[in-house]
Amino acid sequence: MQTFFQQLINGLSLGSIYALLALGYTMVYGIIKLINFAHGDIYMIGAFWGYYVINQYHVDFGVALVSSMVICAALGMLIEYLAYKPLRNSPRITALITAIGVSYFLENGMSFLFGANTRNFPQVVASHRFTVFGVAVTNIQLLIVTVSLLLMVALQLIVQHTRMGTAMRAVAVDQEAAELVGINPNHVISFTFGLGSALAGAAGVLIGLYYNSIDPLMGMVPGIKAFVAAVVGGIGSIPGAALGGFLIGILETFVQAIGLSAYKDAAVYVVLIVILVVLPAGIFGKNVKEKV
Amino acid sequence: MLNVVGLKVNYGAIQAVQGVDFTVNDGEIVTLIGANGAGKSTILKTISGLLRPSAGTITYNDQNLAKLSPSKIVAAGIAQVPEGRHVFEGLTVTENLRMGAYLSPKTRDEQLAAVYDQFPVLKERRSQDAATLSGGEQQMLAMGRAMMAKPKLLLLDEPSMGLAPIYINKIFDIIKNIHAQGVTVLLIEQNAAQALQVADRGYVLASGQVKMTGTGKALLANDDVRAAYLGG
Repeated sequence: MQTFFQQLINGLSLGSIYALLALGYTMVYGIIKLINFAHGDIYMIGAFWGYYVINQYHVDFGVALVSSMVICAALGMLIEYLAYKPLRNSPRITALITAIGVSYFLENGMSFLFGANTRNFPQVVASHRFTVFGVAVTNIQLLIVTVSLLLMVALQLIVQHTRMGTAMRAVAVDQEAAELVGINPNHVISFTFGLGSALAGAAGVLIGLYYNSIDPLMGMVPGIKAFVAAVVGGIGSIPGAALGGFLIGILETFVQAIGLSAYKDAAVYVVLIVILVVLPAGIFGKNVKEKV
Repeated sequence: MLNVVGLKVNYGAIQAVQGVDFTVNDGEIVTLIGANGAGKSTILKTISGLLRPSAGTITYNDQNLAKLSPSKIVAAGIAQVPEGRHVFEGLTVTENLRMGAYLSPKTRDEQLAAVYDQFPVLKERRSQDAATLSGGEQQMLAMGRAMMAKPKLLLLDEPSMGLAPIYINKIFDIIKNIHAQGVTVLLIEQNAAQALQVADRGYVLASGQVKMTGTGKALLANDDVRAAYLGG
């Protein structure tokens, strides 16, 4: 039972990272039906930005987190403007392949500019471990879960209660009708990329703090797992992405805990296959019939 | 107010509108009638900026609409109620209406109160998901949403389509009511008889061209129009 709770704590910490990333996937998909495969690399850039400002300017955790969110939001919007906007009226597969291209560009660009080696992320928050009912919890884990939950609440408030958030939902359900009330879809799409990328930037700094190490390819596998999380939750659904993220994080740590570390990635992909076969719309997804 | 000259619009490889001229004067109700595929909806979508003309001009109070984006056209005072209603499903009735005032957030709340006065049924359902409304209620929501922008010219695309007879009369009453508030109306309808009854003037379209024009009354009395569109 102790082990169970221990793994649950570990799973929630990892899961909140996946959840933050999955939100970006699901929002972008909801609005332009694009799986943004470069999303995991934005998270990598977020981690590198955190590494840079903490080492260079000795800023504290809060400044690193917020500045990384701002930088990643700007980068996400820039990528959308340069790479995806010109393809707005192209077939979906074109944009998808472009996303993979952007992903390679960011990964190899960072390797080229700063080297492919793994770096130690500066431990800007001193780690303390304390034990509650025999379960070990670190302050870093609490910080990750708390920050993630706060960001999710903030996102929910933006999407549900602001003019721009409502416009996002309007464009997602009916772009033409949204244009007829005067919404410029380009602004809304750009805003969506900014919002999703800001969350990825936060996730990058949090994972740096948690795992201590960062490298230019660190976004690949978490990016794909977060994509799986978004599909599990129902792609396009914001609460679904959050739930899917936590589920995938917990699943991964439990698979490790029962001694199958080597299969932890495989387990996530098995979940993807099972979901696609059994419940293709995901947990919170709506069954939408494609028009042909 | 609105002056359309030599308008041609291509829809993929098809030329859906093949050189159409018509005018809408300030304060009028003008209707475009004609069978399915006559190009009526294409004309409205082009006025709203969703489609681009391949030739011709659309002038609205001396502004050339062909160069403006849909949001600029809404800002200029033209709102459209699209065919098939297209309410935002998953958004509440109030959220749908607020989106109608997307470009005028300052006057949004007073306009919302005015729309709720005009459509009490929407007020009753204000917290409901728009997808749960009946067809007639959704049509009222789509009209209320367009009115949120305080348009000077309202474009209505098949507002009575697919509605129960009780709602059809209601929708035409609402159109008269909106017109009485000083809004100019361009109405597209397959229900030609009722459209011509409320309209000051009408244009009969067939295969992308204007075949006939006249006052609503004159067209209603015209034998050719009666035979083709009014069931004898």
